[in-house]
Amino acid sequence: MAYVDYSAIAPFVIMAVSAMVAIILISIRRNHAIIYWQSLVGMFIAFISLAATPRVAPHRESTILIIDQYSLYFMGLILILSAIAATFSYIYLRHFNDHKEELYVLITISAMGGMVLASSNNFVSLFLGFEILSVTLYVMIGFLRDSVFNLEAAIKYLILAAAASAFLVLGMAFIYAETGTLDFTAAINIISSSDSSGWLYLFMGTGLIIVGLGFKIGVVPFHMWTPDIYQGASAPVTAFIASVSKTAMVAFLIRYFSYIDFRTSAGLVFIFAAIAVLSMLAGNLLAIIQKNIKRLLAYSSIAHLGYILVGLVALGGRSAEAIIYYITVYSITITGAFGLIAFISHAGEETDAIESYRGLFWRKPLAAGLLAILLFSLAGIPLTAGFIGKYYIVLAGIGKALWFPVIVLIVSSVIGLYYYLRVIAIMVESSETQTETVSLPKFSVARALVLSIVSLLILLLGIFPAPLIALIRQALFASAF
Amino acid sequence: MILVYLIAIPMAAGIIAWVLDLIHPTLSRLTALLGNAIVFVIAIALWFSSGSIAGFYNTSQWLKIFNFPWIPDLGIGVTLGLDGLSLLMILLTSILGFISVIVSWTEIKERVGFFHFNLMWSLAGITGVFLALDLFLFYFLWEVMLVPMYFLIAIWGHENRRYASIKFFLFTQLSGLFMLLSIIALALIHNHTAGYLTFNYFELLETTIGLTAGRWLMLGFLVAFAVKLPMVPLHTWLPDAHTEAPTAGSVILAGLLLKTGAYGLIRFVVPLFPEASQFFSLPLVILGVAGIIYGAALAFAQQDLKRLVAYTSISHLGFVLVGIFSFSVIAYQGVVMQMICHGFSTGGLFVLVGMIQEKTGTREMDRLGGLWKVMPRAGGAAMFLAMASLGLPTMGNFIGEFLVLIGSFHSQTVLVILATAGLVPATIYSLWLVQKTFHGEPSKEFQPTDIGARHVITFSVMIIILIWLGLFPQSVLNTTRPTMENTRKAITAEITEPENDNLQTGNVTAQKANEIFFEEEPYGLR
Repeated sequence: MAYVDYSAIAPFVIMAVSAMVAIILISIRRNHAIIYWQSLVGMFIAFISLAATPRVAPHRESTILIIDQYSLYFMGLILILSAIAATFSYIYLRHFNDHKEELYVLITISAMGGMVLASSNNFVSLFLGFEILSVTLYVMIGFLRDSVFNLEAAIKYLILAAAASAFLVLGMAFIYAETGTLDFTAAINIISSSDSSGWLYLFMGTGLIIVGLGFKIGVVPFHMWTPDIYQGASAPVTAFIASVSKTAMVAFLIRYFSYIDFRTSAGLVFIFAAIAVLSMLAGNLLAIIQKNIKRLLAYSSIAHLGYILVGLVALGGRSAEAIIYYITVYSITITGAFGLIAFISHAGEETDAIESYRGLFWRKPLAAGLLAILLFSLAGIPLTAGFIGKYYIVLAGIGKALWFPVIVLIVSSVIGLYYYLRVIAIMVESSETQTETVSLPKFSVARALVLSIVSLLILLLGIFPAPLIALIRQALFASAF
Repeated sequence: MILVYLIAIPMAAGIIAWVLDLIHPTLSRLTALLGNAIVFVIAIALWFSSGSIAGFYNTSQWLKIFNFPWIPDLGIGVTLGLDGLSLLMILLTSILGFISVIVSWTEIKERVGFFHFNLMWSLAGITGVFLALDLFLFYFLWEVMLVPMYFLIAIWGHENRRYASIKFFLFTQLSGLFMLLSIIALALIHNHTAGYLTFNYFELLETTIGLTAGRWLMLGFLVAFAVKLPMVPLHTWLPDAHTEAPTAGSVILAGLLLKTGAYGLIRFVVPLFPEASQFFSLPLVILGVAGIIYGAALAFAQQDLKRLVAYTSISHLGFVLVGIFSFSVIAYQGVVMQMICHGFSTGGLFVLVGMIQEKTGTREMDRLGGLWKVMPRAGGAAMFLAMASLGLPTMGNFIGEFLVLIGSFHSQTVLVILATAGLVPATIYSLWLVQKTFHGEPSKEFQPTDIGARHVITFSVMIIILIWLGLFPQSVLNTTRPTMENTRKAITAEITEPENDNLQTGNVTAQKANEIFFEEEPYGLR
């Protein structure tokens, strides 16, 4: 093995070692702060090791992983998001009296699963990453064992995710049966060089894989779990699901679909466009009637993944960079939003009814102001990064003349604006009308600092998006597709 | 760089005002005043240096251009440009901004710092809209002015503020997104022919667009501007937003935000899509005339003073729509005049209504009456503003409406006659407003005191400007003339360009006005 090989697998190894060290440390002595910092250091070293990877040609590692600028970008993003989610968990669980150290082990392993997905170019690594991510999430969702909601959500997720995995495996089996290989590029080459009958297998296989992946990213019609799990899991864990898990899946989707160039198959384009349109409409319309902010954000996430699928249907040209920009911004924003819910909640009993946000702007100006920034970013209002992202997706969509999905995107994003504005309107209403105010945790510097950084980042990326766009373009330019 | 300062100063003043509120609310009011004053001084200085105020007129349209790459990967730059039209709009912005701070002095008592932050940022966004020459930047600032405006209505508004603010935001957002769609499509068409992506106004002007594509893209822009203007079927947000907003919000909405719609039509729709503009001109003029009459009729039917004033805006802006889509320089000059004067006269009426509500606690005309006896100074101001609003000669509004009507007469004769008839209901509702509120028996319910020095100065400034514009409109007309001629050139590329300089040299005599009128008639009535 050359230096390249070591440096290419270094991030995975570091994360695995970090998880094991954490387990050993827990067995010696339970200390919340030590485990948290140890995991954070692990993620930090892994992040540094990304920078040490040679940035020349894409490097294939043992046929199942491909390390290129693209996967490095997503690994970096996943590490940052995991670190933020871990920090939220630490602050959230600080005054919680039960065993809580294992959560950081799970976050580390789960992040590693996401990293595998981001650098997968083979069905084996796809399944590996998918399962590592899922299995750790079952435990994370049910982590607060005394909470009925946590357990209910965990069981729901377990059953549905297992079904999704089954679909995924069957889809992979179809493709393997036809081509005899598990490598994406090899499989595509065999199918495109053979006669047209091969398309049927690819079509069925891809269809089943779409079911599995569609579940994971939570798009219509595989979205039913999203609101329940978002609401049931504790806010920092939801932040993790909403950001890391979806980012990793999107990273995989872009690569997979740029390999198979599915625009040559009108059927697949139609399916994806239909999923995108339905997700945008259903997500935004159902979010309107929600009374719980976590459910509201869950439905909005369905819509946002719908926007991303519009970009995916338009793949080619500038749309890959559009999707990457969008998912980057979206995942940071949604992490921040759930972090804010954690910010104003006690562990175990969360402040998640929208009604309890009445007058928050005047009681907790900082928290409400930051939440307003994040909601404006989700709604895609200028000065926030969400606007640049939405603009980028629309640019990609029109570039491929996808008028119908783009117009649905625009109309449904205005519907989306309505419910974000409703939350903001409730927050700015004077709280005098309210008889009893919900008890909120005391001000903490750590919480305020982390969330301010996240919100300022969103503003910064909205006003000066050029560096991030340049980074993404450079990563795509030097990658394997 | 000075163009960047015009946007940055209000933003900085807004932030400082917010912080200073922690020490004392008056400090934040003073900061906001200062910010507007600085912008005003800069704009006046630019106006003097352009020379057009003294009767000269530049043949080149652009006085100042600023260019800086912002997102080079997407061809987006911070391109700002100042011509006569944007200069006048910025002057209007700074004066109305100043007045908004003054009239909020006693009305806004809570969260003063945040109020002025929103006020100044909204003004900064509006200034930016008047300066932006990069279409992406234009859309960006178009939205930036919305959010603070939303907060102004949602936090400091009246009873039904939540409904009104959300409705306002959704209407403008949806229409704005269609404009974004058109902007992107236009840039991509340019990309297709020129080989690179850019949002620069001057480069996009050169784009060759197919006939059908041009019409669709024009509709995207049109929807955004027509909602803002507002054009008649898209106006329903306006009465709610204007009525529920605090006084300063109503002044900015009526005086400035509506003008951004008209500005967009002149700056972008007509030059970018000349063919499509001509294609849709007839229905648009019809809708303009419908707006003039419908708005006036609805204004007359209102019980709520503020709603009445709000509906008059729909009527007045109808003239703007008629003027823009009749494509003559005279009508364009009238449009600008109408935009400025409507800003002052309707802004003034909103100040008046806000003051009445502050003193009596009601806006219901039935409960008011006889106020002249207790508030003679306010009564005088009301009379003046109502006269301006109904288009009495010697006031600027008359010049504006007259020029629009004379300029568009030859292209849409029947419709212009109908529009002229719309001046009659204007007289009725204006006098009705004064009669119901100030004449008759004084109501025993309340004992309001007369307006103080603050309001006297505000109204005096507005009335002096209106009379000045009514008597000496030439400096304004000179300032915008190059812009308007270029705009019209885009439209009448195929029609021989009439060469008249009558407006430039000085007084518009009846004879000269006739000459212009006939020279513009392509079929030759002479």
